[in-house]
Amino acid sequence: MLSETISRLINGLHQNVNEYDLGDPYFQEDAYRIYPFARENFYPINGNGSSRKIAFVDGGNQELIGAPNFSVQLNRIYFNVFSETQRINQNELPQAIDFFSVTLLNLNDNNTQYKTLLFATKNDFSDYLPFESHLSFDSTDRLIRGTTRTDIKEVASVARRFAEWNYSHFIIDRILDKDDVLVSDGTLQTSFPNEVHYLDVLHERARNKGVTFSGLAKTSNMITTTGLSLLGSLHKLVEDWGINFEEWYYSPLAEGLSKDHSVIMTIVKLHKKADHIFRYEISNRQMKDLDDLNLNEVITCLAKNSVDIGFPGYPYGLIDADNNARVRANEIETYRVMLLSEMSKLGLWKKFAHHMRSTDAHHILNLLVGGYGR
Amino acid sequence: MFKFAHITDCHLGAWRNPKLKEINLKAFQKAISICVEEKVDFIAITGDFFDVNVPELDHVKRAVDIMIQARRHGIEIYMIYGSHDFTASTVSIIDILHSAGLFIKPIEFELIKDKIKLKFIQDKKTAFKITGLSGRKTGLDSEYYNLLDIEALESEEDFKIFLFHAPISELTPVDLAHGESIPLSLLPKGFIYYGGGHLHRRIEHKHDDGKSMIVYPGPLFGSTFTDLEDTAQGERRGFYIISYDNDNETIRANFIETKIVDIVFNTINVNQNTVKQIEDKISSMVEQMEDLTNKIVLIKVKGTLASGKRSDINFSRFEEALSAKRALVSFINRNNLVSPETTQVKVFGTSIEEIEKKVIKERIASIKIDPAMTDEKVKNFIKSKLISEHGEFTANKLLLALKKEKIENETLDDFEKRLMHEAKSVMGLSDINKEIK
Amino acid sequence: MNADCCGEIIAGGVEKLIIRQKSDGAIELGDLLVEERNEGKLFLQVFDLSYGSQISQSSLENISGMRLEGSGVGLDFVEPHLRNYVLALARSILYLTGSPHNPKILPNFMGSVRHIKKEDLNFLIKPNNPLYFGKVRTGSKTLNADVYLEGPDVLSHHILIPATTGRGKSNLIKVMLWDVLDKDFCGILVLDAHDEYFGTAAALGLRNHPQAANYLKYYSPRASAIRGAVGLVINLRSITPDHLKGIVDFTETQWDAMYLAYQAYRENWISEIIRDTPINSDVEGGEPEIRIARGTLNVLRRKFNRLLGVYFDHTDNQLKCRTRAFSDTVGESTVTQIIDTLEEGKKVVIDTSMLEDQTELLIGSVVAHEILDRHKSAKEEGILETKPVISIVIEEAPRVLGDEVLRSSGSNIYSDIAREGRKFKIGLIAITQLTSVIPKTILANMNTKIILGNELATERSSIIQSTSQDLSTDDRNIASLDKGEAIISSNFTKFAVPMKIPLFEDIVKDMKTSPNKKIAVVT
Repeated sequence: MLSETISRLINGLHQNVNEYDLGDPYFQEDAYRIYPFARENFYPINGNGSSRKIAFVDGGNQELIGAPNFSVQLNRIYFNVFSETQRINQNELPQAIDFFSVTLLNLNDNNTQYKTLLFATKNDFSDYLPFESHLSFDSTDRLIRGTTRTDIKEVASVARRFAEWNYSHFIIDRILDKDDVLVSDGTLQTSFPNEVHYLDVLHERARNKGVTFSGLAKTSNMITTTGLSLLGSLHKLVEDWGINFEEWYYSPLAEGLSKDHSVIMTIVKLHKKADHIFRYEISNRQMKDLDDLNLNEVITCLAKNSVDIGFPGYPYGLIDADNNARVRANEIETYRVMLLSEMSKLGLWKKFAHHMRSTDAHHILNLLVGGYGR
Repeated sequence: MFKFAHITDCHLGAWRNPKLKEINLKAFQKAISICVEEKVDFIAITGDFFDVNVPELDHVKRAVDIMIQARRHGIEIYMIYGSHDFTASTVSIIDILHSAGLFIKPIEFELIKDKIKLKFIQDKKTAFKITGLSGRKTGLDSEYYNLLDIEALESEEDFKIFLFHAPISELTPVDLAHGESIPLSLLPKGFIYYGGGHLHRRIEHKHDDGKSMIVYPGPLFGSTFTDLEDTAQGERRGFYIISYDNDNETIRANFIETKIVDIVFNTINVNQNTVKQIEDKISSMVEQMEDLTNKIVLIKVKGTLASGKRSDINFSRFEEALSAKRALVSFINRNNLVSPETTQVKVFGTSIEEIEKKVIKERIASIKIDPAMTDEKVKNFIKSKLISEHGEFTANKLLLALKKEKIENETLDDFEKRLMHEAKSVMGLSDINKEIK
Repeated sequence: MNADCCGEIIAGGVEKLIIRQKSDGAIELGDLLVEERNEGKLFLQVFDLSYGSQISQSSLENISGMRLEGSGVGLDFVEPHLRNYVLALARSILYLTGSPHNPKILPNFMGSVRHIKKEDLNFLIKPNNPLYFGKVRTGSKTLNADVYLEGPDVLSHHILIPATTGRGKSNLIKVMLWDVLDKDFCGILVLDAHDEYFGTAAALGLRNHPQAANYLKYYSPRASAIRGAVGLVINLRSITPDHLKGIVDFTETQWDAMYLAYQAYRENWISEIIRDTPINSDVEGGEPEIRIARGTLNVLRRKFNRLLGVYFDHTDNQLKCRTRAFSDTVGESTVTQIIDTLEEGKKVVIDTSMLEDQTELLIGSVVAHEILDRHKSAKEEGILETKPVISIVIEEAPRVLGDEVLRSSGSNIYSDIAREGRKFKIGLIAITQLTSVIPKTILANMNTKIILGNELATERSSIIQSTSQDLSTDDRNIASLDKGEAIISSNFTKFAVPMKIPLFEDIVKDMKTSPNKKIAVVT
């Protein structure tokens, strides 16, 4: 019975997902210039990227304690620097910075406002944190994705995002040189109010120094005009058009025209053995300065870092950054206990406990079934 | 057919008691007389001919007279030394007899590349080749046997006799087990006869699958009370006449007894007896003893006194009683009678020197410097002279020094001064005076 | 980071510390590591190694598949040392702050550790009466630090050497004996079942020791062919029925018969049985009664023939012995001489390679009884302290110390010595392949165990349960011991010391020969 059901399911999927027309890249908003799929946009990755340094930046965060009206998070920003596959050690900047953030919700005249306070875990880290004033905004701001009132846990990630951009400034200033590359994990698209200012300054700073500011996204929800997965369609085009480059990049895919996302998007296959292709976007200000040769070199140096057998075609620097930027569940409990005991010491436990209990039932269930943390 | 006599361990001059001394000499006389009667081709004496290296001269003279009897009958005497009759540091009487040509010493050798190559002496009558090794002080025998040029000995042709004065481990009786011995494997192979000395026990052993013999004749009479006790309990004393039939290549050993007197021996166990009880027991035993004329009577008293001391017992009256029963000589051995306070040190040894060394070692081991002593000079002196191996050395040297006999014509005063001087010199007492000052 | 550092402690507890090895740290199983602290040093020992990786197991399997099947050409791990590494499990074994003592603290979290150096072991002081075992080993490496223990203590408290075949136990015994040969604080008797200790013209042995002439006696049935060897011949009068207890199985009737014979003929009891002399009652003036059945005597005669090789030759009316190890005419002093030699602090090797098992054990039993009697008397007289410790080396120890043997045949002299020998300065050096068959009560008395390699899990477990230190985590260590490697666990060591036993032949060759002595031969 079940096998019949499965069979019917797959058939239904097959009938509704047809590839006879791949379409063109689709971006819902008018903020993008779209370039139709074209064979000549495929380029082999064969530049000389040996002399460039690449810095990879990533961040992580986890909630320590929370309620519908506040969220206390532990945040971490981490970076590394590679030349091809060789890590370059440096003493100029802390390799990772940790800080706490407290995001608070206030409701005034039906208007939800968020405010975030920052607390560096070490005094030295304070200099690298964004301004708290930049982390306050209204929940109805159209830049925030989601529903009218955003889940505070999602909003709380604002601190981490801003900190990533802020720290990137320092990386460009103190670590990288002309022709070097900065790769951020994810896209260069903003999600929060005021974030665009950080990005803007970052784009400019990078351009002035001659550093290529870019982002590589692991995941993609992009689709084509015929409703197919954009990356899937590109895969098919490679086959259909007989593109026999082992490593290649497709450029341009689209151009972001708004300040929120001022990039040129490309798609990259960074190793012949790669099963995945990724969206790689470069600040469009710099893209204009990059001729084909230099673009190829930038992507080549990324490719040369993407030879880890564990994930061929994905930059090792981002694997490392992801690993070290994560805030793991077993770290959270220590800090959680410290927070709760301080609350208790100050006689504030009862005050906050009521609010916290409204969301921590899931946590209790986790404990019951052997789960740990969130 | 060739014949030779094998005599050993005569210990002439042993015994303080003149009667026993005389009996010992008589036994030697008897042995030589039999050798002359039997017309042996030669006599081999394997050590401890005299009891000490410088025995009383009248005894020496009589021994020489007896030996000359054999020589006059054309019987050659081959003699090796033992552990008693000779000492390396001074001239011994036995050396003088050898120099006088009274006997032949078949122990010539050469040292070739650290090996001892023994030379053979060929007996003129029998053409037997004779060689051997004299006895040594305790512990040195094995060393010399290990150094022998065995190949040279074993490759020598014709009939060979090896004379030696050492116990062989495998053949030593259990009551003589303590002390150094040499293993059979150290004897050179291929000799028809191995004449041994040192063990005061008669042992015959067929060697090399019966092709040769190893023989210890034992003493002719004995030189210790233990010897006499063994004799009383059945051990026969005498010597061997060895016959060799060269046609059949067979060797036969014939034991010839040299009994001079009978010996009576009794043991009394007096454990936990009082002095009176012991005296009564001995008295009763003596009374019951009959037919003691011209016999040697030995009584051994052993046990622990319930009370009192050994010296509380009047042993001399029992000896008188035995004398009255016409015993030739009587002795009451009370060495194994101890009083309750006596602490004994048990050591084993085959010679007096060995026992003395061991007793000294045991005693010295218990001497320690009093922790309360503060004078460093005295402490150092004690450490260097009186304790551990230094103490043993000093004690042994002192004993040797004080054992010295008064020289003939030396006055008592001079003898005393000489002894004191030697003792002080051993103790280094002149040094301590200087150091303390 | 200290240049010497080979790893960091990253997790664990008292029983198990987890150390991440530096990529070139080269930590081995059994390695001794040191954590330097302000107050002193903490010594750790590695008992297990495993892989650690930042990459999940399934990814690793996938990666390996790619490499094996050739689809990973040109790909490799970036920063391999960072992401794939070795984790060492270790435990603290010693804390050195001036003097060594058992550790009761954890090492510093994330503390760095380094490999042990010779200087770290300067606290191992050579005792006054040293018994040498080998050199300290860390992993497979040997440090130039000798392992000595206080001889009289170790020997009188017994030594057990559990090892399977080919692990180097003979070499160990030879190395120990070589070093202690000329030291008179102990006499050692070796029942050499394979004639491997004395040596031959072709094989180095104890005979090659410069002091062998003074300190070594060798008894062999083949002594006539070996210059200096003493013939192994025991006079039958040296044997009493008690010597046979626990060594040979007899029925109750047979025991009764032997004791009756002993009563009647004292030390000639065996000779008379073999000569088929009727064992009569001791009735003065009356008619003698035959008290032992003929059948019993016949059985005893056959058993003695088998055990001793002794029989009566009717052609020449002589009592003979097939092995020449027993006699009724010679060898009276053999046992006494052996013991005298041992009591002088010398060493005796008895070649029992040509003898049956039981015969070997019997000879050992006769000697051991005598030693025990002497030492008991010495203790009564208050002079036991002046005597050296005497130790008996016995191979295949379960023959006399095994549970089954003790239950079926009762105790024997060896088990008696194992239980109470210490009080009389007599010890055993027992070699066994099977520790599990030796009763715990006996194992508990064997206070020094020199553990050589053992591939049998049950045996390792048995050994571990009986050691003086906690070796519960050392199962893998023991299983991985190579030939010549050992762990010495003793009441007299501060920790279970991993050891490398040098090759006996190397020691012999290294020994400087003493200058040629001048000989003074006096005639």
